[in-house]
Amino acid sequence: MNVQKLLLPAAVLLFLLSCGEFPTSYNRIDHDRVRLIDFIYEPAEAAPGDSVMLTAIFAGKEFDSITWQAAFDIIQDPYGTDTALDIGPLSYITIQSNDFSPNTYTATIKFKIPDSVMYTTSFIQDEIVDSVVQMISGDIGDIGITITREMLVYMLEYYCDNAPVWDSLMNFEGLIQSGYDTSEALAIIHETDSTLLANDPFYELYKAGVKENLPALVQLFSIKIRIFAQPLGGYEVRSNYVVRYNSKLTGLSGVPIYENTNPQVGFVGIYKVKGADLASFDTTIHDQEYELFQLFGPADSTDSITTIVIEKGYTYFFTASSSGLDSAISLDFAFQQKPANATETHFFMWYFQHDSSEIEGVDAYDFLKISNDNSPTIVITPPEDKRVKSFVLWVEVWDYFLNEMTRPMASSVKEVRGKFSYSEEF
Amino acid sequence: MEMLVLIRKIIILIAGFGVLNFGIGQEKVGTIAEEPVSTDSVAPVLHDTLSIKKGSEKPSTDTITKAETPAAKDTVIELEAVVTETVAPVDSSKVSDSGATIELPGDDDIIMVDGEEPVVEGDSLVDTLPPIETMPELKEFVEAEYPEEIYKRGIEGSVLMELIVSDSGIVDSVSLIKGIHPILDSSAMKAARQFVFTPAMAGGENVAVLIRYEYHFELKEIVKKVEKYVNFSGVLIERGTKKPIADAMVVIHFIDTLSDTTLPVPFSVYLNKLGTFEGQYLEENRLVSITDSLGQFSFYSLPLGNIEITAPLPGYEKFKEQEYISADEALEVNYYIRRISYSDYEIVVYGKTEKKEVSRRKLTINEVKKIPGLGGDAVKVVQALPGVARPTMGSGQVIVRGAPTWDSQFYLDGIPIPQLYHFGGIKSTYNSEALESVDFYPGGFGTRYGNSIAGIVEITGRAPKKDRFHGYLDGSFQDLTFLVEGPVNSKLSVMGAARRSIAGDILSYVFENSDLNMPFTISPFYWDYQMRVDYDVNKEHHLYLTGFGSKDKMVLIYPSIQGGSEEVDEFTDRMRHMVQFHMGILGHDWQITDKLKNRLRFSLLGGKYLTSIFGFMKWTGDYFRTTIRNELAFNISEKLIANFGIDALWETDDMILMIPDAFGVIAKDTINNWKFGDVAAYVNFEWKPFEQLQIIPGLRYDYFRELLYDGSVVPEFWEYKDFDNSRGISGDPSIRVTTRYDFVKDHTAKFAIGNYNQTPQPGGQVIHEKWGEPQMPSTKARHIVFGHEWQITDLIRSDIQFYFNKQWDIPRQASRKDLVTNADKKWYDDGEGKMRGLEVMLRHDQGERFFGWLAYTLSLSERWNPNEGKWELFRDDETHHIQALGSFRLRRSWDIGFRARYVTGKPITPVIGAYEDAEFNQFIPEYGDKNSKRLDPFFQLDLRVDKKFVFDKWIFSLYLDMQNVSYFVYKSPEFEVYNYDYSDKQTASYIFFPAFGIKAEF
Repeated sequence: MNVQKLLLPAAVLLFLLSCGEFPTSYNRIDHDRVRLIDFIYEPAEAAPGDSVMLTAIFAGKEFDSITWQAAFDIIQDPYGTDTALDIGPLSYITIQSNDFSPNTYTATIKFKIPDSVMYTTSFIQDEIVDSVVQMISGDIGDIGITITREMLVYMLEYYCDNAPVWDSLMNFEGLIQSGYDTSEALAIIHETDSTLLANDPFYELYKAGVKENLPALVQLFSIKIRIFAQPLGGYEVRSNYVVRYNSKLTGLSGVPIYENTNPQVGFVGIYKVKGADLASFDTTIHDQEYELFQLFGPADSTDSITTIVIEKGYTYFFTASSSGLDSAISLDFAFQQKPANATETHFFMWYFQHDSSEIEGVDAYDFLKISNDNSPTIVITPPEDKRVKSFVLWVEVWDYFLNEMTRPMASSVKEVRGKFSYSEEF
Repeated sequence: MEMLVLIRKIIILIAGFGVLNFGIGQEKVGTIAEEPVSTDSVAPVLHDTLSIKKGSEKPSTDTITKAETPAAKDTVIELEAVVTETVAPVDSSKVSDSGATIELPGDDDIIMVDGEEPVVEGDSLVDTLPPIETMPELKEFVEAEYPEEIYKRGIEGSVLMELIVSDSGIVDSVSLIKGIHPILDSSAMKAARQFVFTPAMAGGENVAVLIRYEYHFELKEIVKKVEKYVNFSGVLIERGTKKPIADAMVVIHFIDTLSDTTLPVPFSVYLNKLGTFEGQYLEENRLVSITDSLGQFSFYSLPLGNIEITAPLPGYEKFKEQEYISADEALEVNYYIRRISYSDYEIVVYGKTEKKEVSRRKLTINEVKKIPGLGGDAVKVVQALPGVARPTMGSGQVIVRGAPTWDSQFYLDGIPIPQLYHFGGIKSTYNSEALESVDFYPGGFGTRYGNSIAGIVEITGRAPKKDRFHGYLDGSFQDLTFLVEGPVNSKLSVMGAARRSIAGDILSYVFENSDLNMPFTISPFYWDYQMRVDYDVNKEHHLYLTGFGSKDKMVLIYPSIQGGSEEVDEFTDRMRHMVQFHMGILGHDWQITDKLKNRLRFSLLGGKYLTSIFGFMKWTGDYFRTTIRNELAFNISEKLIANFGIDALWETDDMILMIPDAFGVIAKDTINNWKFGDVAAYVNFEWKPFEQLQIIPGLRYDYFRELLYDGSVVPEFWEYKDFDNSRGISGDPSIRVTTRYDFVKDHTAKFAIGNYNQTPQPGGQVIHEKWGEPQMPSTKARHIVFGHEWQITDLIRSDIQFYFNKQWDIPRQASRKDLVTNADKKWYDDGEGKMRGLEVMLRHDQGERFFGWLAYTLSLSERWNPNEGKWELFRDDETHHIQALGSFRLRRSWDIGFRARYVTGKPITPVIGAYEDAEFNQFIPEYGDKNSKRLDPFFQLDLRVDKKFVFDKWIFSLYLDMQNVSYFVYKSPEFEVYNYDYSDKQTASYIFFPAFGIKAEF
């Protein structure tokens, strides 16, 4: 979440400024510009060596081609100053898939995360690694092993690929805690397990306490890579993608590690609320009369309707809901070995587009206007010009959780269409 | 018969020796006596009847001798030997109280004795009479009655008689020669008959003589008995301020001289008498008295009837009042007289005070209150001075000679204050009405100040007024203020002031009661207070205690915002900001000896702060600060003064900061007892080798408690690359020299050079363990200033200064390029700056009708970019800055003022493109060379109108302050605003902003 965006309303209030409104707006997709609706990664996060499918959804002006680049080595300081060190062409394959919709232009590619990215990245600062090493060393004590960054990465990757070993370790630990001695415990667990156990190069570390630190370790060893997309005739798009081991380790027993997944838009509709010029609407707080018109939703809910009559004395709101709330765990909780007790938050971004034939000759200031505060219900200012009726609406939902280190941001988009009709007195 | 003949002979003889002429109050014939003459003894006059002429011919000047008769202590007797002399008539008005004069008889006053022929010169009788050896002296004087019934006629004058004094000294006969009024003539003759003289002697025997005697009647004696009592008194008070008008003339013109029938004497005589009473005097028939220090006046024994009172006072309107003096009771009045202008009553008169600093601008509070566009705020007025860049959009930035605000220090009575303005610039935290002056040092200042590498603003609190209690109440849409001050007794005076904002309350009310349906609510709020107690222990010791506090608080509630963490703040739907402090200053001024003076300032300050943003960030803390400043001034000789000073500040901070870093993790820092402070000692010498030249060298050492670097041992005037100067503790020495030379009358050349240092800024953050680099050194600077002052007239002066400043070890946040070489380092100390410029000021101090100034600054401020290897413009660099302002006093308490300024546009970094950030759904601009372009020039015109309504006991004022009137003609750019993808831009301008206020003062 960009804190600066939140401060904007307060900043504007505090200054008495004279400047006019722009005829363009971020939320409105104009036909003469190439506009990004969303980058959707599947999976929402990946581990080194994984393949990732990226769907870039554009709207507005059509373009012929798109150039892809990537940077797998990024430096960033706590203030957010960052630089990409190795920008180069992205090796990918193009996936032929259906366009997202007739109103959009979609490019889908598949690329691979380099296997060694976690060893070579500059994203993880030495400062952080040193503090992690110090922390673990402190927990472990002197066991004759020098812990290094590479060792920790190797260990994480080992368990990613050898989940059963981890399970064996868990079983073994459980037996020891139950009172069995080492040999007895080893005898009880499956022979294969004991073999695996005996061959576990990190067993000593495990015994010493890495298990407890694993949830924190996976956060500390989360990095960003960056994808660059340059559509011909459009703005360059930059997107950060998080690479970490959660998706591989989420199944490990006894360890609270969670994978982030893309949320889904479950419903899109319009509130028609009695009362003019309302600034916000929440059915749980406000008591005005209202009607809800579905634009998209479950089949068994309110009938979908695509035409909304605009009347005087009412205020209209776009509204959406989402699903797929993932669990989240803060770094503090991770260090404390506590399980997640929070879920992520979903935010919404709204885009719309008018029918090009309807807006010919219409002043841009007379188009539909919507507020842009990332909330699930936003106020609509219907078009001033009654010739403007049709609209395409894209609802992007994305997730966010504060305090999980380098948490990936997942998203998805839903497109709906609708029409306005105007009452006589409007 | 024989007796008469003898008398005649004697007369003739005496005439040969001159005439004894004793006139009361006369030195010589026809003139006023030096001393009053008692009527108890009057020497007789012998006449030469043949030679005596009466008339107005000039008396002889070569024959006057003076003798004093023993019997009459205060009698002046003149002897005049006259043969053909004439005697000037006696002026009765010049005659003293005793009223007796002797005159020589004139031609038609020849004495006939028993019908015998007059004796002529050469007569044998003359030859045979023995000379007079002893003149008759008056032993018993009898006062002639002046009947009361004729007092009123005001008759004064002399009754001339001839007396025959026998050889036994009694008066045998009296005859009238010239009278003034039958009653008075008769009365005089009657009294003269009762005179007793010592007999005249001639030839060893008592002889009879004929003398002339003049009895003078005056009413003085009558009016002497007039009683002195107050029957008219009052007080002159300045209208509106209720200030007593001291040493003022109160003039009574008697327009009715007939009403009082009880006067014993004629009016004019009575008036003359009144003029002799102590406390009043007569001038051109008007009675005058002077008011005392309390404005009080009294008049004594005024005649009944109508009088007209005036009070001619410079600086005040004409005053005239009519009263009636009655016999029933004494009249007491209070007169409220209106000043011509009420801006003057607190004026500080400009004089050529001793100046020490090269760059110093002193402003009087009276001047600053009227400058338009600054809301009467004394501290914000600094922004209108040359060398200070225009702050952004009315903010409280003080950008001095191309350096940011945090490079300057702000003091109250020598004590640093933590917060200069409310909410970053709305209003200063210290009430301007409680200030005495604002001193601004844009650079080249002496060793008294430290921990600053740019400028100094020192505000000085004033002592409470001691004449009487004063106060005022001021209101505007922004805030309400009150102030009360006055004396407790002759040694103790107190003052209290407080201010509270109301804009937030108005805003809340509007939001709640209007149809506006805003998605958020906001309530800004501030208050401040000042208290002061002054105590004059005795001549040597003066104590004062100041209490000062301030609070800013703002809450913005935006319910639809989500995403913050309750771990950070329980209120995730709001942004909160609060800053508060309370401080006390104890001041002690001690004149130890006539050569030794000590000034101590001791302060304790406690403050706390909170900033939280929707559960994303929270910063809270409190701090406690102790400050001591002690200055000992020693007058070694007339030419040399030594000043020794300690300037020490200790601060401990407890702080909790929770803020997400760029990795999305909330970094929680808890710091307890984080120690800050600048402990410094200094010495300087004010040396005047001769009257016109003053040189002030000084040495200072600053130790910074919070820093961990190796400080310098040699004062650094530049970065010593070949010499390892980093050896000491975390502190730095400074050497500073200022020179002033009055090379010609009214012309002064000045020069200053010095090195300066301060803790690296932003303070705390730069040396923080996580966010900064703890080993950062202090930031250093060098100033070189030279200039010229010219006192053109008493009120007009000019000041031209050139400055060349350099800074180094400026903290610089790591850039993208820096991350490549060292990803862990967040701050670097390789920043450099250079600033140079010319400042010109032509100033007209507060005169009767006008004050103002014209200021021009030509400057260049740059910063070194190590990554790019080049110099770049400082973000607030202004090539040209011209400012003209003035305030005019019109009639009837109207004041109008204007302020116009033209400033080169601020540097901006051009946007050359943009890309879209898919993660955060926003466009990110791509920039060209830093600060390589400029906004369009800035022009602003502010106007202000003040009007005072002066009533007897209070003054009511209105003001209208219109900022940016020029908006309707030219929209000055503040900054550029871009659309979402940076393909289009507009320029944001500050709008026209009127502010209206009222004030009531007593």
